[in-house]
Amino acid sequence: MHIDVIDNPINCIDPLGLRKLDEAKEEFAENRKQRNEQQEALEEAEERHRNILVKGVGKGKNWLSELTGISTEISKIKDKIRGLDEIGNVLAYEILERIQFNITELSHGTKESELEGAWESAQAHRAWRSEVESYNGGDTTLAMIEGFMTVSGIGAVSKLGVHLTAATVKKLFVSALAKAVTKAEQKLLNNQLAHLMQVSMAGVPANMSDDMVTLFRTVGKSELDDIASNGFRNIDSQMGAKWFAESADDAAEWARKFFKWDKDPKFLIKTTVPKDLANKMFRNPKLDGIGAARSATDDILKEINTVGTKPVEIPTLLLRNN
Amino acid sequence: METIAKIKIKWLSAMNGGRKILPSGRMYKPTLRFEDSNDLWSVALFLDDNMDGDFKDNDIVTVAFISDSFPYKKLKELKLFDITEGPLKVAEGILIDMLDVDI
Repeated sequence: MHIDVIDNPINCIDPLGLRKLDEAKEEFAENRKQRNEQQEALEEAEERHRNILVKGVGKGKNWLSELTGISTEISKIKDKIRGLDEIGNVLAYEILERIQFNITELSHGTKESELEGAWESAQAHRAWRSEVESYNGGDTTLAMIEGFMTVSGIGAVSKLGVHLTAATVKKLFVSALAKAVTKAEQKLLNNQLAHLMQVSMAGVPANMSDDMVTLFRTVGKSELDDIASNGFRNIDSQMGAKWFAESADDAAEWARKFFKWDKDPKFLIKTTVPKDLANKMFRNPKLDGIGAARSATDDILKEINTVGTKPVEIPTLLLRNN
Repeated sequence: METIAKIKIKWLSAMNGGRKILPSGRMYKPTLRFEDSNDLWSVALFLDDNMDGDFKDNDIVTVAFISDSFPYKKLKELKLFDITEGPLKVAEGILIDMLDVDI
C-alpha cells in the first residue's frame, strides 16, 4: 500500500502528512498501533484540509489492513449517502449499508488466499490507476480502491461532510458493487444518478437553462464557512467585489494559479442565479486569458442570496490538473 | 522562475470611490488595469515580512501576477496602472522594480 497525501485541488504534496502516513505504514504490526496512528494521520490531514489519496499497489491483504484504519471515513461517506435520501435516493443508502456490511465481513473473516486473486487483477488495477491519476482535487480525498472487496469509490472529505462526485457514486454503487446490486437496482440507480451526473460534473455547460446561469467560485476555508453562515457578502476589510467563473474548470484554474502564491486550500462552490441577475454583473469574457468571469458587488451578492440557489460546495475530483 | 514586482500603492479615498476600509491581512487579491485598455489582470499583493500590520497608503508591496499572459512589457513601459476590484478602481500603482524569483 502506497499512500500519497496531496495538498489540495491544486496538486501540491503535503510532505508532513505524507511522512506521517508513511511512518504509520512502516510501523505496521500485528497489534492495533498502526491502525491508530493511521487514523491519527488521517484526522490530522483532514483538520488541515489536505487531500488524502490512498492508492493501492499491493495485494488485498494489505488493503484489508488499511481499510480498517479508515473505517470512520467510510462511516462519513455513509452519512453523506444518507443525505442523498433528501433527493430521493433511498436505494443508494440501502446499498451503502450492504457495502458497510461487506467490509465488516471481509475485514474479519476473509482468508488471505481469497483476497489475492481479486487484487491481482492487473487490468482492473491499471484502469483504476489511470482514472485516479486523471483526477485532481477535493480538499480531502479518500480513494477506496477496487480490489478484493470490489469496492471502488472516491470521496472528498471536508468538515462540511463527505462529497461524492456523481461519477463516483455511480461507480461505487453500480459498477464496483455489481456483485451486491441486482440488475433492476442498477437500472433504477442509474436513473436516479442521471440528474447528479448532469449537475456536478465539471465542465458541464454553465447555463443550466435559458433563464438561469450557474456560477462558480473558489474560496478559502474562512470564506467557505462565512458563506455557509451568511451567504455571499462583502466584508469591509475584504474585496469590495467578488469574481465568479462561468465554468467549474475555469474556477479551478484560477484556484491553481492563486494557490501557487497563497498556499491556501481552495473549495469550489457554485450557485445558480436568474440570467437577468447575472447580466447585472460586470462580465469579463476572458479574465486573465483563462475564461469568462463576472464580478458581483455587495448589492448583487445580496440579490444572489435572495434569488439564487443555495451555494453548495462541489467536489473538485473531476477537475483535471492541466 | 516567476516574475514579481515591487510597487507603491496609493489608495483612493472613499469619497473618490475607494474603499471604506483598507484590506486587512498580509495579502490582497485585486485586479490590475492599464489606462490604455479595459483588460483586467488578477494579481496578488503581499506585504513584505518586515512590514507590520495591514495595508496602508503609500506602502511598497510585492505583486505576483496570476495570468500566464500578463503583459510584463507594458508594465515596464507604462509603470502606472489602476488597481481595481471588478471594474471599480480602488487605488493606483506605481512600478518600483521587477525581478525574477524562485517560489
